[in-house]
Formats: sequence, structure tokens, C-alpha cells
Amino acid sequence: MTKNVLKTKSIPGSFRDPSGFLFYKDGFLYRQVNTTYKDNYDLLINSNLYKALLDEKLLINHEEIDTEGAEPDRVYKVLKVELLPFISYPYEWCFSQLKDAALTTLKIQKIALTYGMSLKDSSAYNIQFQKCKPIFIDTLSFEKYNEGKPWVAYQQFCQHFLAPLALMSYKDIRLNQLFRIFIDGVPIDLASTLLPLKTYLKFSLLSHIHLHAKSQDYYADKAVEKNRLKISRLSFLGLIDSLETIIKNMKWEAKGTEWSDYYQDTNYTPSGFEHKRHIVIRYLEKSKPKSVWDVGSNVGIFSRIASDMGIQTLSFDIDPAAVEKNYLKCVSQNENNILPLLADLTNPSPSIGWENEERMSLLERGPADMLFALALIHHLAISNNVPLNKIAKFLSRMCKTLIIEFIPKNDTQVQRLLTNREDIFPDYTNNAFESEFMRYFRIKDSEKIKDSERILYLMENNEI
Amino acid sequence: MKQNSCLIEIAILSTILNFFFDQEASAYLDPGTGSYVLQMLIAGLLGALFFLKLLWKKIKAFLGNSFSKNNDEKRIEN
Repeated sequence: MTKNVLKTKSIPGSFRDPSGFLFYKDGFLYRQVNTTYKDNYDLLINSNLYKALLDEKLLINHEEIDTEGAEPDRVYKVLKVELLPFISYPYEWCFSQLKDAALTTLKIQKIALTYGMSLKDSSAYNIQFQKCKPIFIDTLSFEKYNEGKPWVAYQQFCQHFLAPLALMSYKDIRLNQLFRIFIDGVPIDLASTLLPLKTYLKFSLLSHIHLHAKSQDYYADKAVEKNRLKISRLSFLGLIDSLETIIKNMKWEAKGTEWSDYYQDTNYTPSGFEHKRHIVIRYLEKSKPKSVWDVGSNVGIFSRIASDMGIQTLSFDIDPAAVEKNYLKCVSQNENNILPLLADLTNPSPSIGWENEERMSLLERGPADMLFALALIHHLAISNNVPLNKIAKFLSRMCKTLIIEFIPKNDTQVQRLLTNREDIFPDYTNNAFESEFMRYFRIKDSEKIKDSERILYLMENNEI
Repeated sequence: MKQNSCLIEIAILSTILNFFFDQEASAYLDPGTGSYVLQMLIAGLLGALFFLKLLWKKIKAFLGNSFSKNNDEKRIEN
């Protein structure tokens, strides 16, 4: 994940909260706690809230370190923070991942309140996935709870969690992509406009989205005396409970998208499929990668060959239903080594936010030790009209080793892609494929899959 | 019964009373005036609903205990 992180280097996405910030130094990740946060930090530790959250595996681990902060004139403490193997963002999560992230945030808020503290922000970017479970990463999000004060993070919670989940559940599953456009979650008025009328009949959505939007609009240019805005502790708990209930009850059925029933409909014979599995196992045992990115993984059948071998695996697919099914399996089987995520290789996550640096692009978070590009290349070359040389160049930026499957034109899946269109792909041949890829990779091994014309390759990057 | 009516009184009081505190500006987010006002508007109702939910849970737990006690007694009698 990290490259060239000697000396002190600030993290571009960590700057809005004056309580502190993240920075890299000599290859490690640290969080500087500023003097302005001293009282809240001490309360977090002394009240045992920190320990309680750690024990429940809800908060990322840190240790206090005796080292110079990145900004010594305002440092209170420096914390060495546990590094995660991969950072992902809410626009890369499926429905249930965002739902679990929301419920984790609310669970943490409820626990915090029992220790006299409260979350001062509730951004979806405060959650990451560790061992396929949501975990809170912002240690400085906690402030002392003063009874009477409304929840300062309520608006952000509605924008980052309630609105996108409601849109995905009631309108269209693809609407979580709005996270890529709006850096602080989905604006509540936009969600109110897009949600169907039947959501007006649900009290929680009526109040937290529709009335919320109208209230925001009405008070946009009005000042209200702060002392008049109070809610009691019981009402505060009622607010959290209301949000938790509506989110727990939100559902989305993983079907009806283009690739959700893919494995019912492939052209491998059973022995061909087994043969492909064995070749992948052999290539993995030969290369021993530390991590695998499986792109176009569908529900993660081949990803699990790597993760079952103890290799940290990211299982990417473009289809929200496929990623959803994959994630639900991770949860039900309690899998630790695989994280399903959404990705469109023809339009991968760009870097966004302040100075286009706050959230990293997909490429910046690589390269992978090993990449699987199985049953994928024809989708890029034929369906998406990407020339083979461009595919080779792109994949060479993504990984050190590659397991790639070449699907020839006479394959039935490719013939299906060409059914209603002109064959404008005279250069889509096995020879051309090998020649283009050898500009960036060395072919270490290759084998034809039984009962098929498809060929699996093991390649090593010339450059990385 | 006396304890229950006391709980109800506290619940009603806490949802309508105003507390006067100085608010610390430790949070950095702009919470949005509209969002704060909405919270205040629905707070009373949400607080009452939450209180009823907790009460219902207590009643269920109490009834659950009573039923299992009755069943134990019947088993002993038989």
C-alpha cells in the first residue's frame, strides 16, 4: 500500500479536524493529538471508553509513542496507529457493507454515551474494513457529552449513511456512486428529491430525510439562538435508536443486475472448471504472493482459492449484486482474508477531494503483489473496445505478477458478445495478446484449460 | 406501580425541560442550524417512543419471568 514513505509525510485526507491529524514517518503511520484535544483524549482513555471499544474490536489499535510530532508547537501526544492492508471508500462498498458501517457507527455512539462521550463526526470515511468487518479508525472523533446539546454529527450521519442507504434500497442500487461526486456524503435535499413518494409514509425517512431537507432549506439563511436548541439525554438516545431501527430494517435483494447469476451460465465443463482451479492453485504456490487483487471476480470463487491459502485478497467486481453476495458470504463464514469491493476497471476510482488528493485513486493504492484477470479480457477488449496493448499497459501498472486468462474469439462467450455487432477486432488473437503483454511482462507459464480453448498464463512484471 | 409512574414522570419532564449549559466548541463540524432545529422538533416524540420501547422490553421480560415461574410451579404440582 505505501511507497517511498521515508521522513515525515502528511496524509492529504487528514486535515479538517483541528484535534489532530495523521502523518507518515519512516514507513509508520502516526496520529498527532493536538493540545486542543487534551481533555477529550484524557477522558477517552481514563473513562475506559477506549479500552471498551478495543475489547469489542470496534476501534483501531494505537500505542502512545515518545516521538516528535509532525507539528511540535501544538502536539499533546503522538500515537502509533495500526496500519491496515488496504484503504477502501464508501463508493467501493456494496449495500450491506455501507449498512454495517452505519450500524457500527451507531453502536460506537451508544457505547460512547454510556461513558459520557459522544461522536463529534460520523463520516463514512471513519470506517474501514479489517478482516472483512467494519472498524472505526478515527480515535479523535470522541468528545465529552454535554447533556442538552443536540448531536453535532446528525447531519453528517444522514448524508453519509441514511441518505445513500435509502437511495440504494428504495431507488437504485447504483446511487452510492454519488459519494464520488459529493465529498461529504449525499446532500439530504438531493436524497429527498430522488426518493420515491412512498418514503413519505415511513415516519423515520419522513423526518430524517424529507423534513430534514425542508428544515435545512428554511434555516439556511436564518440564525437561531443556540441556547434554545436543546434535547435531553433520553431524546438523544431516542434519536440514535430511531436511526438504528430504520437502518437495520433497510433491505436490498442481491439480484436483477447483469452479472448476479453469472455462475449459472458459464461454458466450462465441470472438469474444465476444476482444471482451471488447479492451475490457479499451482500458480499461487509457485509465486507465493503476499496479496492478491482479483478483478472481475464476480462472487469471489477464485478469490477464495487465494484467501483460503491465507493470502490477503481483494475481490473486485463491477456488479453490486455480485459484491453483495460475496460480502454476505464473508460475513456468514466469518472470513478474515478476503474483502469484496466494487470496481469498474474501465473507470476505476479516481483521486478526489481537496487538491484531488483527499481520497486516493485505485491505482495509487496498488500495485498488487498478484492480480487475477480471469474471464475478464474479452469484456475489456470486445465489450469495451479497449485495444490489447492498452490492457497490457494498464495491468502492468496494477501488479507485480499476473494470472490472466485469454479467451479466444471462437469461445461461446465472445461469440455472444459479438452477436449483435460487427466484428471490428481483427487483432484480437492469441498471438497478438502474447506479443502485447510481453512488452511489459515475462510469461513464466501457460496452460490450456481442459474442454476449452481458453488459456491461463502466469506472468511477471518486467518493471515492478 | 409507584416506580413506573415515577419513571413516566421523569420521562415527560426530561423531554420538555430545557437545560441551560454553556456549550463547549470542541466539535469542528458545522452541524447545520436546520439539522439542530429538526432534532429539537422530533426529539420529544423520539424520546417518548424510545422510553415506551424500553418499558415494553421490561414488561416482556417481567411477563417472561412470570410465565416461566408459573410453568415451574405447575411442573412441581404435577
